[in-house]
Amino acid sequence: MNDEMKEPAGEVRRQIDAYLDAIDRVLSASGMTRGERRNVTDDVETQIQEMLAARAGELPTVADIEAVLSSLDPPEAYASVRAETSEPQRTTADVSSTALPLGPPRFSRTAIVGALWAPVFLMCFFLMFHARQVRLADVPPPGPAWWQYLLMCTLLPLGLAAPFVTTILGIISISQIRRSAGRLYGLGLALFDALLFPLLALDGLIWKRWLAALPHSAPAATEGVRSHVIAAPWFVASPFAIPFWTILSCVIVDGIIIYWAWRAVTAPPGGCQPEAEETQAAIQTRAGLAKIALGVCCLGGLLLAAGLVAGGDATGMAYLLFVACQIAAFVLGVMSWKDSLGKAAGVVSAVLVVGSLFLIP
Amino acid sequence: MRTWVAQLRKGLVELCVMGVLRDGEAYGYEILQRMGKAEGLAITESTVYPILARLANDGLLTVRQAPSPEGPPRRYYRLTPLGRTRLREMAAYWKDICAAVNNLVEGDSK
Repeated sequence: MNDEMKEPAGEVRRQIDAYLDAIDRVLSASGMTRGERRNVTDDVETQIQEMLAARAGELPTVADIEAVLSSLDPPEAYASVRAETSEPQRTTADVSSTALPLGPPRFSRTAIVGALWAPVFLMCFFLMFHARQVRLADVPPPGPAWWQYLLMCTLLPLGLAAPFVTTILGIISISQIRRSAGRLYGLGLALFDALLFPLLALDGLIWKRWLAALPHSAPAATEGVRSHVIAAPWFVASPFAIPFWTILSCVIVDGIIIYWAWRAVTAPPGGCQPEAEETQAAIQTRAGLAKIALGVCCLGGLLLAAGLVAGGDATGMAYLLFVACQIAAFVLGVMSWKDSLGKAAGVVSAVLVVGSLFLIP
Repeated sequence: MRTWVAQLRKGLVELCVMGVLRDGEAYGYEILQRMGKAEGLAITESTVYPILARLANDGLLTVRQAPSPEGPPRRYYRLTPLGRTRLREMAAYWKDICAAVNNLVEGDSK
């Protein structure tokens, strides 16, 4: 009996994991989504641990775990239950998923169509900006050839519709995949469809704002931030300044949007974040990052205020340091988003940067 | 007879699970234990937990995770407003069905 009490906890853990893995496999084969499977196995594990605690206290033996597992349903029991309970009593919003045939999972066709449609816009864009007219002596220019008319009637409408169609198809396919209970996959492509054109439009807007904010041609003899910025160092006055800041901003903004969107579409609708499993060290690190974010945000504000008070060339330099500080604060704020200080730093820095871009003359 | 009883029970599990959560939140094993007290239901975890996961996925339940003194965090389920509406509809339908079936059965017995 004493030997039995000294049996390693690792073996108990291994048996629990093997049982949970077996349930997971059965549920996966029956088409349950990963989020739902995790919910089920978490509930089963909680039950096992509570039964073990009630039976053996803090040091369960292999005999205890075997007794507990033998009192539970075999993993195979989850297959029949899933098949009988998953289909009926769906909400009206789930009509699309019930209409899907049972069988092996397949790639979302809606997402594929959306992805194939997107390049048509680029083709149209390319063709429109490469239309040329060659004038030969006194000969009047010929009208469009038949194939050009054909393209105008077919490719052009398809291309102009592509941003809307691709985005809508992406959103529809995300919804279908999430409701398909594992019978559809391709969430990455669906998200790509949904975000491609909105992000391109946003990137265009960012580029336009940097174009307005930084000197990009001959020095303008105007007052205000722009005229002071011209005297600033290479990272402002260089011809690469606008592409550099634009690409940096786009990468950060797009990355954050994609990260949030991916988290949103992959989270189970009724699920929850495993916050209770987070270590104390992770919480402390996050709190530290949040404080740094807020500090950098405040520092940027102070620098800008000092630059505005000083006036002259210092204003332009102060503004750039302010933007750099706010971008850093935003990144740090997003990294520590679960902390209230981090959230505040992220939101305030974003509002300050966007607001300052629109305030530049 | 056993097949009929099993089918009838399975059809009622969803209603029973939501009924347990009518007055407040509960975690999976707790729901199972409360349902186990109802004689005749004889429902096991392989029936209840997938239904909880599906109801949560359908937006009828919310899930909150909280630490447990016994081991891994407990996942507490609670009815959403949509879930409450669904429970009311199901309960009303169940009463109608019960009444109709009772009438038929009692009529036959007479």
